[in-house]
Amino acid sequence: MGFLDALLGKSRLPKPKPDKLFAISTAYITLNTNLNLKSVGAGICFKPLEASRFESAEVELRELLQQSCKETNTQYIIKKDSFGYIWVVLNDPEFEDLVTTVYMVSETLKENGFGEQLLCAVFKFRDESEIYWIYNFKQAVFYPFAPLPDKKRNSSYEFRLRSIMEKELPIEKEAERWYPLWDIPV
Amino acid sequence: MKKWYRDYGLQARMILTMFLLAVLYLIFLSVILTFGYGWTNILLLFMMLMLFVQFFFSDKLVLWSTGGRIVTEQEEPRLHETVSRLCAIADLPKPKIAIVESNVPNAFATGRSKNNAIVAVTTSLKQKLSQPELEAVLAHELSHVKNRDMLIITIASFLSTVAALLVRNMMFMGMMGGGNRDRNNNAGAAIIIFVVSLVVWVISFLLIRALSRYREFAADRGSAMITGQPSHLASALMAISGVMERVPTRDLREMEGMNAFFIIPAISGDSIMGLLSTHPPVEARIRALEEMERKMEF
Repeated sequence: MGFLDALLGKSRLPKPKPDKLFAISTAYITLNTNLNLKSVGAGICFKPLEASRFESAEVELRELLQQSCKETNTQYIIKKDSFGYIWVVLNDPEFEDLVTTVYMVSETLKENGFGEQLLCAVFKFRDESEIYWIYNFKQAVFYPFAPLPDKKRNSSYEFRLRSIMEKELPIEKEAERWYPLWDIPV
Repeated sequence: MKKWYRDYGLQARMILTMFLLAVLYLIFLSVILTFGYGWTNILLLFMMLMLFVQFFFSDKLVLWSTGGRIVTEQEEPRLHETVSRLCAIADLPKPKIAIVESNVPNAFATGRSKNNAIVAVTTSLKQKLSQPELEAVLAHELSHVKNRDMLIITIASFLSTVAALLVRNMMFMGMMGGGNRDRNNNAGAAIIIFVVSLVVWVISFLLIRALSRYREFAADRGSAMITGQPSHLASALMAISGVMERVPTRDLREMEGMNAFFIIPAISGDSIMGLLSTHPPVEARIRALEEMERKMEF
């Protein structure tokens, strides 16, 4: 987004970069062994577009999900949240399958020209509490999110997660951009 | 690149307006530098300083003049999440969020850069609009931030303001008999400066208004791109403008100064002329959004 674009008011949206998603698969080993975190599902969230082409892309996405989830034994649900965003919620004991399915969804949207509408992917883990690693498609970075009751966050735990995982995961450097997502349906 | 992302007509008009402004200002500057004497140069320097201060503290000044209050994530979690989701999609740093107590449904963006931006909504806007409509309005304001409209309009208005001040000052001095010691030497120069300033003021005023309207259209387009739903902004504009006509004018007058930064200007009734308005008429904006919606289908 150069200055010329701003000068002309061309507010085009940045393209998504899903390739760094796979960093979470290798990081999972550390998360599991060092932090005792267990994967309990994943999800990918995007903003629907009002156009018939988007609807046909959605149909294609559903068909693809049905096929690939049958092969990998992944369970999936498609939900709309209260902000009007669509979530594909995935469940699979195999962490690897979760990552590839999330990647497949993002690629399908991208190929159909709707990659800009991707909000994030989330990977949910649990020890005593619940934590999420959220992937930002535009920046190609992850950030931790540890929600507590009453819309509070366990920030100290989030910072600890960052310091432990810094070497293995591309992590958003500015903590201000660790946007919370409340009521994640995953 | 998608078809509906582009609007060459709008870009061409924007470039033409900015080009004309630049030419006009170049002429103005050269006249000032050629014929200017003592106090015009001081005025120029003083204005530059004032403008810089105003621009630098725009976020605080606007909040102060509108009575807006910055709200934290704890106070307004939903509003914050709506904005942060849009920021994640548009890849923008999240601005501060402010709420203005007012029964005029409106929103504005201010701040000198992306990192110092504030997006504000009035209490009435929050009540009157549905979630998707509110989201569309917020995306419109975020597009203003993304397009650096505050900076562009400030720069575009700078010499226009100088010209206006010169005209007013000289008129005042002329009425007072212009009792200057070096009056005779400068009488010719003063007349030239006065006439040129007057012409520059009038033309630049119209050009800036035009530019401001094009930037509104661009922000509407930006909103539609970020939300993917042009119709929601259209219905929000309809809802806001419908209420605007009915609200008492006393409230509106208090807000007039900030018009350039509001989503719909707070001047009720039919505007005198489309030419003088900072914002395009709502019908034109809705038509543009519908056009965009049609293009999205292909």
